[in-house]
Parts: sequence; C-alpha cells; structure tokens
Amino acid sequence: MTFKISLFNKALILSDLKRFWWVSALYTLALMAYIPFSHLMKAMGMEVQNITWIQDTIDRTLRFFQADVQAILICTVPVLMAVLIFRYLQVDKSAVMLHSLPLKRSSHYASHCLAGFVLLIIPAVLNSLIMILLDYFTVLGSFYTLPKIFTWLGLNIFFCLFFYSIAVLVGMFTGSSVAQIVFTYLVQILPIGIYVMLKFSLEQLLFGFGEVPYSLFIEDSHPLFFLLNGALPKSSHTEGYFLAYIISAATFLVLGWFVYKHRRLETAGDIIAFPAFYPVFKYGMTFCLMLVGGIYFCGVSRQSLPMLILGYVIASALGYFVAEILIHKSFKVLHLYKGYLYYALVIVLLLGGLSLDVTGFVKRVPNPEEVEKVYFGYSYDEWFYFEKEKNPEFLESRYRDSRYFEDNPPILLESQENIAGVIELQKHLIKERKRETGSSPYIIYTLKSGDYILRQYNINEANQSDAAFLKPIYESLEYKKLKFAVMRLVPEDIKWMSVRDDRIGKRQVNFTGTKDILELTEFLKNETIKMSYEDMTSSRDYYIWLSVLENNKGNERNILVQSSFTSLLSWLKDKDYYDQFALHLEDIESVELEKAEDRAYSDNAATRSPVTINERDVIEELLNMNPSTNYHSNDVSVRFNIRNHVWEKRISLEAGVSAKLKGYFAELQEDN
Amino acid sequence: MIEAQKLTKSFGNYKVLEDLNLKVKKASVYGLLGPNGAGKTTLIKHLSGLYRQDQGIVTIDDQPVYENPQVKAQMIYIPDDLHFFSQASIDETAKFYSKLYPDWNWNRYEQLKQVFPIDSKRRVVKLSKGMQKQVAFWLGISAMPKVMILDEPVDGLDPVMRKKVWSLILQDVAERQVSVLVSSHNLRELEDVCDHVGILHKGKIVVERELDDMKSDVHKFQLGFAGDIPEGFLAGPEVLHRTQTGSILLLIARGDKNQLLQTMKSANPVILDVLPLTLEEIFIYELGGMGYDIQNIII
Repeated sequence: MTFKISLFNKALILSDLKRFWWVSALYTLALMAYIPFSHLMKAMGMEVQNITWIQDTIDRTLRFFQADVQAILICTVPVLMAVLIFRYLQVDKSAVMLHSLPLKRSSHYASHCLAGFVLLIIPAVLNSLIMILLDYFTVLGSFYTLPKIFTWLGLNIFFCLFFYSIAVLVGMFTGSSVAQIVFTYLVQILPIGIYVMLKFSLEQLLFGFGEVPYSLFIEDSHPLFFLLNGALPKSSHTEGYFLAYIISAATFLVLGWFVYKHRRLETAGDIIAFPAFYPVFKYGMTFCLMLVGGIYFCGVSRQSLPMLILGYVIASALGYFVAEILIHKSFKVLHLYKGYLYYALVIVLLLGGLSLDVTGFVKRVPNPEEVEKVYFGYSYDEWFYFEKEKNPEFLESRYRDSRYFEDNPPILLESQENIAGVIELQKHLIKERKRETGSSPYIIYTLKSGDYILRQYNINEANQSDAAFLKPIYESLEYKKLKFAVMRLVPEDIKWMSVRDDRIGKRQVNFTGTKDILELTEFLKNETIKMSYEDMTSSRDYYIWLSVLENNKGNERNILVQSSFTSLLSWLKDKDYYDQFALHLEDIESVELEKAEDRAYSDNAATRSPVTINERDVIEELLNMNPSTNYHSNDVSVRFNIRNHVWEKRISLEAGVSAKLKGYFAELQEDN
Repeated sequence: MIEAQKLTKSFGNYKVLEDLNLKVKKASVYGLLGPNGAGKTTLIKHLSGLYRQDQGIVTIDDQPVYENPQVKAQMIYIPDDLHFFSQASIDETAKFYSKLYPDWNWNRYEQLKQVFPIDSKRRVVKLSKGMQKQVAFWLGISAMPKVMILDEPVDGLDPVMRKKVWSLILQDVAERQVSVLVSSHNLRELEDVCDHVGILHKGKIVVERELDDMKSDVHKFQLGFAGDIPEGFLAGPEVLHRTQTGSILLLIARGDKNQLLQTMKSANPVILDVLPLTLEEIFIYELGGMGYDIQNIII
C-alpha cells in the first residue's frame, strides 16, 4: 500500500460525502440566494442614479466588507461541518464501529478532514461558477469582474479553512459535540476576553495601571473579528497576513492529527478527552469566571472593592464546581472542595501581594536622571508606534494619513524641567490617590536603560492641586511646541491665511500678502508662547478661527484665536480687518432665551415660547458673558439672531448679572 | 491465534482489567463468561484493537492489533450496541464494507439473502434491533474474516435465527479455520457452541477450560443402596460433590468414566445411574472447590 492510498481512504471520503452532502447543498443555496441571485435582482431593477450604490453593495459583499448573513454563515458553517464530520468520535457506538474497520487513525483523520473541507469548498466553487456565468451573460457583467469573483472565492476558502481547522482541532480535545462548538468560539474570544477582564481587574487593584488597547494586537487581525466587525482585510492585511493564517490553519490540522492519534476511544462523551487537560479546563474556567464575576459585581456596585472581592469568590467557586460537574458528569462534586481551596490560596496570595504593592508597582517613580523622555498624552497607539516600535508609518497607513505624525507629533518631553515636572505630578497623584473622573492621560517614561514605565491616572485640569503641577509643564515652550501646530508654522510655506468669526457665518478675511502672513504667524507664535495654563484649559471663546493653507498640503489647518491673544486682535483691529469679519453688536437683531432642558426635550419647547430680548445693553451683556462650563440642566440657552444666521450659547443661571437681565430670567422661570 | 498477555487497563482510578492472560486457539470457539461489569466488553475492545492497553500485549497471529489495519482486515467485531450510517441501505452498507475488507465475498453476500429474510434495499437504522443484528452477521460473514469477535451476539435474535447464525459461524470455523471469541453472561448459551470457556471476574480470567475435556472428565452418578451406604469405597477417586438423601447418594467426581463406574459397582449399589451434567453444574462444583461462589459470578 502506498502512502497516499493509506492516508486518504476513498470509501470513507465517499461515505462522508454521501452522508453530509445536504449541508453543502443548503450552504450553496444560502450563498446563491444571498450573493448572485440578490445581486442579479438589484442589477436588473437598477435605476441610473443607483449604479454606484449597487456597485458598492456588490463590492462590499464580494470582499466580506460588512457583518451580514454571509459573515455569519462563514463563521458557523465550517464549525458545523467539523462537528458533523467528527461527530462519530464523540459517540461511543459510532466510534467503536468506525475504528473496528481496518484503517489507521491517520487514514480516518485525513479522510474525514478532506471530505469535510471538500464539502465546504463546493458551495463557494459552485457559486463562483454561477457568478462567472452571470458575468458573461447578464447585466451583472458591468458589476462583476473575474478578479473580484476570484477574490471572493479565495477569501471564502480562506475563512472556511481557518474556522474549520480550529473546530477540528478543538474537536480532538473534547468528547462532546456541544463542547466542541462552545470551545471553538471560546478559544478565539478567550485571549481578548481574558485580556480585557484582567486589565479591568488590574485597573481596580493597581492604582495607575495603564490601559493598553487590545485593538492593537487582535481586533483587526483575527479573522473572526474582522468578519464580525465588518472590517475587511485592509491594505495592511497583505499576502503575508493570509499566508500566516493559512500556515497556522495547516498547523492546527497537523496538530489535530497528532492529537487524534493519541486520543483514547473510551473518552467519547467526556467533556475533555485528555485527563491531563482536566486541571487546565478546571482552573481555566475558575479563573475566567472569577474575572467575569468581578466585573459584574464591580459594575453593579459602582466599583466598590469589597463587592469586587465578593464577585471573585462567588464566581470562582461557581466556575470551579461547574467544571467539576462537567468533568465528572455528576452533581456530587462538593467533596472535591480541596482543589478550590488551593486555588483560593494562590489567588489570595496574589491579590494580597497586589494590594500591598509587593512589587512596588504603585509607588514606582523613576529618578529624573534615569529618564530619557516621557510621553504625556492620550494615545497609547501613537506612543507605541512612534516611540516603542519606531514604526510610525504603520499607524499612518492605518489612519490613511501619511503625514499624521508630522502634523500631530506625540507629546514626548525630553527637557530636564519637564521630566522633573511630570515626575512631581506623578508623585502628587500617587499621594492623593483619588479616582474622581477627569481625563486620563498616559505617563510613559522611556528610561535610559531602554525600559519603559507605563502609568495612567485620572487628572482634573480644573482641580487646584492638580493644576499646580500641570501649570509648569503646560506653560513650557517644549510642551507648547509639540501641542500647538502654530509653533511649527513656517511663514514661507503658507499659501494663504484667513480669519473668520463662527458666530456670524460665512464672512471671512483672507490674507495672501507675504507681509501680512509673516506678521500674523509672528503674533500667533508670540501669543501661544505667552499663553497661560488657565487660557489653555478654559473652554471659553470658541469662535474666532484662523485658517492656514500650507503649500503641498491638501487641508487647511484651523487655529483658535483666544480672547487672550490681545496683540493679535489689536493688530487685526488696527488694520481694520477685525470689523470685516467679526460679530458686532449691531449685527444682532434679537436674542431669545430658553431653558436649556427645554431645548434638550424638544416636546416642551414646542409648547413654551422663548423670552425675546431687544434691549441693546442686555444683548451686549449676554454677548460678553462667559459660557457655562458644567452643563447644568438649569442652564439658559441664549439664541442670537444674526441676520441670516443663528448662534447659540449656554450660560449659567447662577452667573452674576444685571438687574434687567435678572428680570428676563425671572420671566423665563415664570413662564413655566 | 488471539492472545492477551498481562493485559492491564484502568479507567481513571478504576482498574477494569488486571494482568489478564488469554489465549484463543485457531479454529476454535472461545466463550468469554462473566457477570455484568466484569470487564468483558473492555477486554473485547482491546482484542479488536479499539482500546489501547495501559500495559501488556494483545496480538492476533503474533501481530499487535492496535492500529494494525492488516490484522483488522482479517477480523470482524460485532458489538452489542450496533451502529450503522443513518442514511444507508443494507446494500449500500455492504458496498462500503466491501471496499474496506480485502476478502469481501459478494457471492456469499448474495447467498446469505436466503438466510436473512430482509429486503436489502431497506435502510438499516429503520430495522428492529434483532434485524440489525442479523445485518451485522450478514455483513460480517460476507467479509470472510479469519477472526470473529462477538459481544453478546445472540441478544435479540429469536431462537430459530440464533441457530441459523451459529450454524453459519460454526461452518466457517470448520471449513475456513475461523477463530471465534464470543462473550456472554449466560453459560447455557455458550454450552452448545464453545470448545473453550473462560470466566472473567473482577478483571481477571479466573478459570479457563476446554469443554470436551471437562465433560469427559467430570461425571455425575446416582447410587441407591439397599441398606446403609458403605464406607471407604470412595477413597480413590476425586469427589467434587456429594449429597446423601436417605440411602440415595449423589456424587460428582472427576476421572475416567469407566474407571469410576468400576469403583461404584464395587460398592454393590442397587441402582447406579450416570446422570447428564450441565456445564453450569461443572463450573459450580469445580469453582466451588476453588473458593469462588460461582452462583454469584454466573447466573
């Protein structure tokens, strides 16, 4: 007998094809209905203006661009096929019958694997043939192209192979078809699941633990996720990507063969086919459920630590005993409590160690001399690709912006003063240990030794004690140079600039003269350098904007002109530009006051009439008032009617106002 | 032919087979007896290459059975719990087997239609349990095996069919030198067909005997005396069992039948009968002597 004959057994393959052809047939029909037939219907009923839309829909389906019926089918049918094909292994009777035949286990495995795969490919091949015929003979010819059809076929086979290989391998480890289905999906979600849950727990237990987004290493790369996210293989998913997954699928199949050879027949019906894996399953389940329970209890109790611990205890016990019940196929498992106690002991030691900060994680602050630079910003991805990987091009290709880092340099501070400033800030945050909400930037040190220290804290810029530490950093020239694009403007590269006032609509003043541009950039830079911490963090005056178009750049850059930019504003006024674009009191026809909550619930607004003000001095007062910063529900929404334009702002009822305006406020209250 | 040496197998912490030795000769029928849970099916699954032993050797014709298609191609295993592909008819199943067993004989398959009165176009799983068993024999015999391993084979067959099936198998044993291992918990069933019997108890073969030897070796006598039963005349032969009811003496003794008769006659009994001895009785008396409570082992 040659190797080939002994590995693939014709009788077995034929019998599999005979037994499971119906799965293939149903899948063929489903694909046919969802792809060529529905495309044909769309294309035949088309109107001229719909052509691009139809083309787009067709292209999206053919490239698995959206999470739809096709995506769901392709991640379930291969699993179902693997379950059916290897069902015989999970049932004692059929396992005995098939293995008493004069065949080696390798032949069994190879033949069944092949039969299942052939059955999975047939639907895709048939549908491709149909599509090719439609391409030649029907109106779909203007939408389909052969490369598109073959891409679809290729992607289809790729997904089938990948999911099928995982399901087959998983099936070798378990003795139950239900478990095979569950585990197949679980092993694919588990890495992210464990990561997310572990991260959540560590965030609760370790003050300053930084969030590392999982998207970086999984979301887009695992086939299951990019199918379900509808995120199609992007340009970053090159041949190498597919090759890597095809090789891993092949590895799974070879591994499955190896496992099959060592699998014992008597394990049919057991949840885990290899007793050696019982502890893995048991403690894996205990651990995962512990994390789930922790998240649940912590979530419903608004992040209280005792509830987190309670969640851990209840859920891990549940996980442990359910795993034992599944393994022993009996409810009498309470006598196995010892294993749980060992587990609990280990966890208590771990958690105890964490909360006592044995590793020194929480208190770890580097010496300024050790630090080469520090990242102080909000994007882990940016830091990772720019600083750690030194591969900014990768992120730029993901953002589809080849100059992303040029325009938005990551805030990597290298000066002695700022490094010391950030370290002082971190020390302060560790001392305060507050968890109140605010923004949560990363503090990531690059040490001279080449190591990194990554932390993330909640910082409230409005909070006095935080501000004291932030102020020197924010006001430093180094920080401003990185933070504000203005600082990097080169007057010679500027094509034109324009200034506008958002309150008044489209009126704007353009500058194209070299002298104006030179002066404007100079003023902008000087003002930015002078900008105080308070100006940088206040949320006032978002209406005067400078637009800058640089040579060799497609998009304009918008720069906010704050009211603190006095020299700039007076330059504009001196040159008589200001009056040309800015809002003047005379432009305002009237002002209407409304309660902000009424605006939010438009049903009320319809029944209540706003309070209208025509008095000039009140209007002026309203115009100069600072907007409300904390969005109280009893804020007042102020609507300025400016010729053909409406501009709104919210102000606080509590603000100190003139007697006249108070009267209007009272009127507003009375109305209701 | 079929041989197991020092075979040991555990399921978890539970030892099912322990240091088990067994030998089935060529062209013989070996009956494997034992109560439920003695490990019969486990032993059989080792002999047919389904289970891998923890320790020991399992061979057929000195070839290991596990993962050995050459050996398995010459062997048919009919389990107690049958499985057939759910969509296949008898003919289709036969076709499947014919591709896997090199010695498959279509003539035989056709001939056997006379014996098994089932329409071969019918789906196997739709048949009754007894009929499925017939199909299993039908296919098994058509595969022309050298070894047949049968687990509780006649369960569910009616007496007529049992006879037909056994005569087919015994014919193969005689003509084609087939070796058969058959398990049962019922001794009476095996009595007529086996030439060897082994009793499996708690994972061990506790006794193994050739039936012909046994039957010619152990005899049951009924003696009636006019007066008192004389003493001493039984000093010579090995008496396995003795019951006395008044002047009637019931003896079970081992030895040559004629010699024993001579000994009996020397005591001048009024009546001297040689009674038929069932296999069950032999086992009961023989094993009783070995310290086993046989009635609890085989029913």
